[in-house]
Amino acid sequence: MHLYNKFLLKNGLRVIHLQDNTRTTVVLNTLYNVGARDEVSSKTGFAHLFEHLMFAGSENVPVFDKEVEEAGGQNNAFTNNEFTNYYLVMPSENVETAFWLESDRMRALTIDEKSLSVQRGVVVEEFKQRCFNAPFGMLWHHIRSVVYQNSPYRWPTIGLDIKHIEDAVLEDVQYFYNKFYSPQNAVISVVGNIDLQQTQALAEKWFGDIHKAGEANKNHYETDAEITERRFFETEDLSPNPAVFLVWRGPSFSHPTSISLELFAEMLGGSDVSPLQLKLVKETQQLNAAECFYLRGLGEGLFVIYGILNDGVTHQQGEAALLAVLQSEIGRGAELERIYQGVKNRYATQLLFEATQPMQLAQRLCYFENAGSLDDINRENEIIENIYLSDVLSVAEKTLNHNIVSVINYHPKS
Amino acid sequence: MSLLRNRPETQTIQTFEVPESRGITLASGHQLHLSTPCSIGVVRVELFWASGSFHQSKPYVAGLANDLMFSGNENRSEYEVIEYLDYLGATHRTECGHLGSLVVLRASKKNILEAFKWSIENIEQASYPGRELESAKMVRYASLERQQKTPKYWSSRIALETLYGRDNTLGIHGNPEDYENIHRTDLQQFKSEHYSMDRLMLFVSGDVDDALLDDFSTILSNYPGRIIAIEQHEFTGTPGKSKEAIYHRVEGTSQVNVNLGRHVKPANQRERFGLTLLNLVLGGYFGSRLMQILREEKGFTYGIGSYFKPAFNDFTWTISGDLKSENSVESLAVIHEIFTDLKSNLLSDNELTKIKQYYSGQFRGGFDGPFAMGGKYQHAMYRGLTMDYYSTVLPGIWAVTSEEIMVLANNYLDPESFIHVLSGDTDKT
Repeated sequence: MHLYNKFLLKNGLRVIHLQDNTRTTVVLNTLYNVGARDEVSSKTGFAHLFEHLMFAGSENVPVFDKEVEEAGGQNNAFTNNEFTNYYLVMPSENVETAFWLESDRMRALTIDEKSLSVQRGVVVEEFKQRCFNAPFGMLWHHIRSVVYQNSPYRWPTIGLDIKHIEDAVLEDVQYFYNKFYSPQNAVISVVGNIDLQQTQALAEKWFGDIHKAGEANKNHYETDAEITERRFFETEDLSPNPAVFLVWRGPSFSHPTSISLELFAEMLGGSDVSPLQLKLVKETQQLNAAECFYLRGLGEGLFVIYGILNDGVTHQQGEAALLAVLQSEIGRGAELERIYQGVKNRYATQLLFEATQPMQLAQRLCYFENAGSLDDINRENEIIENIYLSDVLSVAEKTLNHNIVSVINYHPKS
Repeated sequence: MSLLRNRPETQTIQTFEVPESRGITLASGHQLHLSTPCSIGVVRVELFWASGSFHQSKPYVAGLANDLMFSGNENRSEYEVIEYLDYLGATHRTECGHLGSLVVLRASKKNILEAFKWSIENIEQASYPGRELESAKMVRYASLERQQKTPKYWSSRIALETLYGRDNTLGIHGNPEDYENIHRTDLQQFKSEHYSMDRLMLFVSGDVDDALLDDFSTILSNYPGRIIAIEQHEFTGTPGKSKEAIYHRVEGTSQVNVNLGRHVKPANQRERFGLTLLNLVLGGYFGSRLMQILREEKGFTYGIGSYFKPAFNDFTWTISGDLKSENSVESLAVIHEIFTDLKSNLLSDNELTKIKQYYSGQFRGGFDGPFAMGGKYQHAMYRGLTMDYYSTVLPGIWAVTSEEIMVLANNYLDPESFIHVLSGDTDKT
């Protein structure tokens, strides 16, 4: 049970506090309700580029990182399709520096042409490093472009094209900052060696007088119709081994069946002896790697199963083998009761471990609050306990239908 | 209102107390290191053997023998072994280094005893069944082939091979085909010599009480333990040199990975503290010279850094990053300019204080949480130190002067003492 406190500042900023006096540090985590889905299709990758610019300094704090480091802390950030998350980990005696810095860049970020130019270069190099220099580096480009055709989920966070990043201009930066980086569009969590009184005082002192026009992101996006057909895409890649990726769209984080797909993914591929591993890697040796996961999202989720093929195994055979294991597992019904109990047990253990990790906890508190379901963070075990195996298999059968699968085949680059 | 006027005061972090932990010898004879217990409902047990790749006669044997401890035995299949751990909600992972190997087991307090008992029993009996071994070799073969498509793999490998030689533990790298020469008997022999139960040490943390430790001891009483020390080795050869940068083209890539490496043998502990700070200034954190100049000023890279990797009791000092191909040679010149600056100019008081403060915050934070101490104890053990060492670190760090750092820069930052490797899209360099 996480004994958190939540309060709201007059400017709309939501603050969540969780005390842990066994720590010498405090995590100040800030989530802004803006991600790649808030970009326009001709300027993709911008939310992530903007995340870089949040470290470029302000009138009051010319070099953000220097201040963090001088206080003995560390910080970083990440962006995904749905939100942007910043964190500071600070020695508890210097926690006020974290409030000062995070509030300052919410209040008065200053970006000039030089900062933008440098960060464009940095992000272009990040794009190359992640997408061009690693096997399957373009995977999310391919997956998203196949399963989405209209919605902004059709591009990955890094952006569709390097040119979009190279073309970003200061006007874009200012617009984005004004529109999305406001207290009413953010959640902060404060986790660690700090009490509620001090948290309230520091939050009010540093964030309380930030007032910005506009309202919170309403998160209205163009959507895609349900997929009713099999889709197919093939490409070449650095990987010396061919591969097959199977993808289905699934329900959003807040939908009751979302967690069922996560549990099913764990049953299908979450262990060294789960069916994908056991049947396709160990027994038939058709694949040299096989995994599956459900990427839960605020808008939608994506269920992915993949296999990397051994020599002599065709894409068709690989796909058929993956689908056969999937169907076979769904068909086993009550036979899977013990395995399902193991999955639930592992999930419960994982939650206990996560409770000891302030950074993860701080991020999860913000995530749940942003999703509108903060109380559920203390109900996860209960929610899972009340999901029966038959529910999980029923959701899997309905969602993971081979007639509506999107298939992405990878061939080694010739 | 200017926020600058209200900038909060910061406190320096110069002292800290090493959290309590204790060493115990179980009635079974096994050594156990216990972190301060806390009521969190979960327990982590690290099963440690003071053996690793240094002791293997063929590449990958130590790692495979470690990875496949749950792959089955004469009595149970891999499925039966792992499925039961899964059912208990227990997870496990393995790590294999030069001189030590681990199986890390974690489970709820309710199930840890059963998971521990099951793990010990099956590790002790592990016989590396043929199908599981062949499958593991096939998986790793393919995974290594994929790694070999990346510039980073090659620049690191070439640098270490050039520096230490292809026959030295510190430089040796296996190839995919090496997996074909590994047989079941190799793993069985390695396990029998190095991963036997009498050589086991335990690191336990989380929600632990004396009754649980007594139960562990009872389970282990079938396999009497003994006192084990980590072997102390040193690199005694002459580090290799390359007069010119080594270029290695990797087809289909679009950046150049640079890797500069040299061997470092600190003269004493004070020098180690000084080198720790010199590395921070050079490339050891976001505010380092490498990141500030090559990323934040020039935009040539997403990330470049420097770090010390243990080379027995010494270090390999490595600078590594993926760079824009067209600017990679220019970036090397920038790195050399940073060397020159550090050799010629004293660090400012501000920069010196900043790196000390940054280091102190990270160092102290590294002891936070219920699971930190096992790793700290292992680190001390590898270096033949006691836990008292940690209480000397912050005073040692804060005592380092900028003059000492400049001397160290002159002693260690000679570009010619570093192997230079550029790998990837080298046609554009």
